[in-house]
Amino acid sequence: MFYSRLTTHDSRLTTLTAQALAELAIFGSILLMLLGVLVNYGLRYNFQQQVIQQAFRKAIAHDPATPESDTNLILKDKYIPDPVNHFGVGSFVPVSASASVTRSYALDAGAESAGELPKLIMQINGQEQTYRTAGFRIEENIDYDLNLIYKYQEIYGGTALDGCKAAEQVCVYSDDGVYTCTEEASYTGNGTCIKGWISLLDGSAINEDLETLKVMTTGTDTDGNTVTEETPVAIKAIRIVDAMAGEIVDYGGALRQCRMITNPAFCKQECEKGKKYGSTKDCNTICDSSMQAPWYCEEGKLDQLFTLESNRYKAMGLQPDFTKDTTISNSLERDEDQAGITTKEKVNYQEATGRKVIYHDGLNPTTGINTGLGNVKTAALSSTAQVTTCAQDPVGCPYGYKITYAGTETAGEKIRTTTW
Amino acid sequence: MVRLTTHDPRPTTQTAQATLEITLALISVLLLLLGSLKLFLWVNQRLVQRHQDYENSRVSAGTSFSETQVDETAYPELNIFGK
Repeated sequence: MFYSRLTTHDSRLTTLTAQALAELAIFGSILLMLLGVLVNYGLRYNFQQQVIQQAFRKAIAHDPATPESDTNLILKDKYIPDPVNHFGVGSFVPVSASASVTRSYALDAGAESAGELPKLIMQINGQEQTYRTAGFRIEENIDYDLNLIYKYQEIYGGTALDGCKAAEQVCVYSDDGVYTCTEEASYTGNGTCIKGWISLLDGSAINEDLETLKVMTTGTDTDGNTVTEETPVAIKAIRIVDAMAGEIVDYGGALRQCRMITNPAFCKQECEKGKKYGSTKDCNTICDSSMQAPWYCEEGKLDQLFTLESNRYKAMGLQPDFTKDTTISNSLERDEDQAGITTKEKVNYQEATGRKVIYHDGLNPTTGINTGLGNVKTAALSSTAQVTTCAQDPVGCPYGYKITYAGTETAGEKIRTTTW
Repeated sequence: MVRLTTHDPRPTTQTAQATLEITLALISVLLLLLGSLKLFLWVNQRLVQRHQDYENSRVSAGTSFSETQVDETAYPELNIFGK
């Protein structure tokens, strides 16, 4: 029962004809809208499932031998037709998913080379871009102290730390009894440590490593005999896998890290919060150790990292806002001759989407080492998708329209064309 | 549908008009509903089938990545009037 209509005194019966058809027109449009919702939901769930699966598979397919922890983001603008439109022309909807895989046996593994640094791999409408989400930062002239190492662990995480121990020293006793030593440089720059980097994962491991890797001091006594002595090892440099030294930096994370380094009270507070039940960790002693502040904790440096004009969200990476340029053109041709009237209608729908990725280029791509503030840059990503009615081309166009996606980088290189 | 035509001088002309109209309307409505049902089933079938294929290719996916590891070309096409 659609609705009631009272025409008790109406003698003009013609006004009553096609009442049910009029009702159908009204309710039919509602049904068409419901059909549109069904198509929209159905396709959206399908596309979403597709990208979730692809993102996870892409993450898990990385070489299991390398202890990488990469995040894979896939974003696609997918076309969803609208049954309410008489040509079915709908709109493009972004569907995205991201996945990362950390293998259980590699939980304690840290990056040892530029290639092993964690990355964010973005695939946007077929265009792939890779950014490192952490970089190496090296601090030299460390005064080795176990509590200081614990503070580094507290701030940067245990697996993110490697130490460079002092190089072997050669000492000679001269005839007049003067003991002179030639000290080789242990850290020679560009991430090279003569004695090799040792993991500073936890206190006991550090002590074990230091015990087995003592510096051997070789000398010659007054009688000409060679004397070898063991002297305690010293850490001369620390290599940190720093999430704030990557190409994409998290503002909140950097702020928290700087407060931990420069403010002992905040460090103690955070240290106490993160304590496991029964832990005997002495947060007071750990946080009172004085450590070097990285460059991004210097006055104004964080603001310089996050002051790009368009970077109003204080966030790097793919920006949440994007531009859409939509063009719809309709054309109707009408031919009249003796045989009759022929009309031909065409619709062209085009949508160009522009997205931005903001990143920091302070990382050396070969060594993976960050030495300071570089330039904050914007990478533009644009993709154009088009729906064209093509009644004249039924072979390549079985549904009466075809959709083409074309992504172009700033250089103008054609990335992908798909016809559906 | 409620229609009151108590003073209608020509009742015969109206007989079964509403019935005819509602018959046409119901046919259209039923076609739309059945089409929607078919579409709903098609959408769900693809979701289930894709997940099944995804699970089946779990082991091989650990070593290689391919955009087409879940082959969707064999999935049934949307056919409103057929089986």
